Amino acid sequence: MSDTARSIVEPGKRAKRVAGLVVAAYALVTLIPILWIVGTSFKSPNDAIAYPPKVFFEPTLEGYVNVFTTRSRQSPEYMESLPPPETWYDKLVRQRNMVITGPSRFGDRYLNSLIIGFGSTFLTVVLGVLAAYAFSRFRVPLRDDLMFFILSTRMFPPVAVAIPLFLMYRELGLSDTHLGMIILYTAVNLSLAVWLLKGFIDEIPREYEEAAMVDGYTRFQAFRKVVLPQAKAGIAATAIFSLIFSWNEYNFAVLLTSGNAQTAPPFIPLIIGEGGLDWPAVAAATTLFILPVLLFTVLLRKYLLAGITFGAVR
Amino acid sequence: MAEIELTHLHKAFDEFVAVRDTNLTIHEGEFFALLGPSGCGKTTTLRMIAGLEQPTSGSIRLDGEEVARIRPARRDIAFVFQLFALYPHLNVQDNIAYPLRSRGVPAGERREQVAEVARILRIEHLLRSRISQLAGGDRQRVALARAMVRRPRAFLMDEPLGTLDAEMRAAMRDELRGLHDRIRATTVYVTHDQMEAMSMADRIAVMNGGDVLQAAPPMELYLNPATLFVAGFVGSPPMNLLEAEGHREAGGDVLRLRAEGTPAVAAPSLPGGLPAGPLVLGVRPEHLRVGPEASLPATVYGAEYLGSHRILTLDSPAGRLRARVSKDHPAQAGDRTGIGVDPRQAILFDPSTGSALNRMAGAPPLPDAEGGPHG
Ligand SMILES: Nc1ncnc2c1ncn2[C@@H]1O[C@H](COP(=O)(O)OP(=O)(O)O)[C@@H](O)[C@H]1O
Ligand SMILES: [Mg+2]
Repeated sequence: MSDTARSIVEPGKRAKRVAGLVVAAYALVTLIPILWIVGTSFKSPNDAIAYPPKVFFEPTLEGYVNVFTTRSRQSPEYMESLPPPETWYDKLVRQRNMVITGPSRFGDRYLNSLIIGFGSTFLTVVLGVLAAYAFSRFRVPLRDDLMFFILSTRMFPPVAVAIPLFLMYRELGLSDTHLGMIILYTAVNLSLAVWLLKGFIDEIPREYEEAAMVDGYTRFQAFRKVVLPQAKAGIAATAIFSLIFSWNEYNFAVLLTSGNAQTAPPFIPLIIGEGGLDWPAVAAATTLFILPVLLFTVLLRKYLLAGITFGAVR
Repeated sequence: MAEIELTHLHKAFDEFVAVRDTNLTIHEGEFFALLGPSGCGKTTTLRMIAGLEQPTSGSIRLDGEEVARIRPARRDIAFVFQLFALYPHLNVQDNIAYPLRSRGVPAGERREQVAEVARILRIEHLLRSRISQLAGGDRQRVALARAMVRRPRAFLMDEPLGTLDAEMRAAMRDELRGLHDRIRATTVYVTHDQMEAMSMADRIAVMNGGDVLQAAPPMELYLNPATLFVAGFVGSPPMNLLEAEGHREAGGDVLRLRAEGTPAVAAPSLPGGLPAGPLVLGVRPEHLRVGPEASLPATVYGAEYLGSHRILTLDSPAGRLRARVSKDHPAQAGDRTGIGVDPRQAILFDPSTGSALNRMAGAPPLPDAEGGPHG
């Protein structure tokens, strides 16, 4: 495009370059802590707390081994008496005069996070898309009031309901259960999900599903085969937001779970090593903790982008 | 193919009545138009026939079978939407095959049937194209093909040409009517464009404010509008409507225009004589005589030359009138002239009810009470 015929809609070269710089700077600022955590997870405990901080270090998997195991320190004599180590992680641990005494609880906590995070995300999307469809298409009595009411559940700080919720859960036997946490996170996420999905479904012309109904589908079939595929972008966005919230949620997890259904967030900061926090282990746990959401978002990204370009053809 | 019968069909959204107590019979094989201004309830009527809207009360019969409460898919009717409602992620072939797929027709048969409708609509060359690559007219043909492919009992079309440009509309109009003449499928066609309805339909129902005012063949509708609304809505330019007053005098009934200083006009003959009181005199533009010898004085305000004829806009004491005259008519803008009304070609309306009081004398008799399909 020549300078004389510059479009007033298309941003100019300089504007684009400035925008690129701003985005790059922002990405850098947000990525540094994450890179630092990933780096720390591969450090030895001494490197992790070294001052000035070490940028170059010899990588080790000690942190990861420590996250998944419990160990005990032994006397040098005892160490001498042991047969040669069978595995690389046995060897790694013995360098510090320790032996592995069993698995840690991190695996369980991680599994809890997966069950509760994906469970509530699934439930949120299913209930959310059904509710949003109903609000969008049917003459629901008091629709506007109900929509506002749903949104209003997000208007107070979560702490405000901590005590009633705690008591309620104790009485109902939902404390420290997977089901209890799934219900709680679904309830919190549903308001956003209904609003978000209703917006997307409102955009899909009714004629599509009506044509399908006239042509042979029941309403539910039309919903499944016509509306759902067109609402992909909204569903992907809702799923990502829901998962991020329930995956990272800390306060209610601390309050309502302890043994059985505890998720990873309340567990990770408590990983204690010798002489205080085991920073590489904490970093290793955090790195592993980031992965599922990252993967989920990357996997769903194509639906997000597809949704933006899916205009109605008239 | 089916006969569609609506009896006392009524639809209210809360307090608002969208379709009021409608009775209509659409004959087998008929091309039937629902005509009326935007918001008069055409789409709602059509959606009730399709089963997309539940009637508040009343019945819908397809070939005598009551269908008002059964779901759309069971009615075996096809609907062509204003926006075509084609799936952008499928190609033309798959779009047309969609109704067959949703009914579980095997793939081989599907291909055959799609090929056949594609041939009828002359879109065989487009079967592999994406919907987004098609021009408006072709999209319309694909939408029609999708409606036709499963051989439904009736077609419902909601302003199917509404989004096309004027030239395309005219072409598609002929094409649609030609198609109907070949397959003779019962068709209900919704439009707000009276030209479209007049040029395509066997019969037209004119609606306003939720009411069906008149259902009749185009010619009958044009010559003998049943109400003032129909008179004003159908025809371009529309019927001239003059405020008048009936007087029963000793020497006979006299019809006078409301305006001061206008001569008495000859009144159409009514069976019970001219009623006393306010009336509206309706005259089609081509039935006005324009010339200095005519009795109602007028000034030519504008003159449009339309090739085969001219449309004169005339200002008279009775208001602004439109007259259709021969292309050789000498009147020019600014000329002083006169207007004459032939009572045999005029219709009197009762302004309080809006109903017509007489039929035009020159009009042909109705084919039958209901008005069957012509052609
Ligand atoms: N779902 C609905 N809820 C409330 N009012 C409606 C609904 N659908 C249609 N209407 C109203 O009914 C009237 C008739 O609508 P419609 O049948 O679409 O008119 P047309 O097709 O003749 O333009 C309009 O005034 C419209 O606002
Ligand atoms: Mg409409």
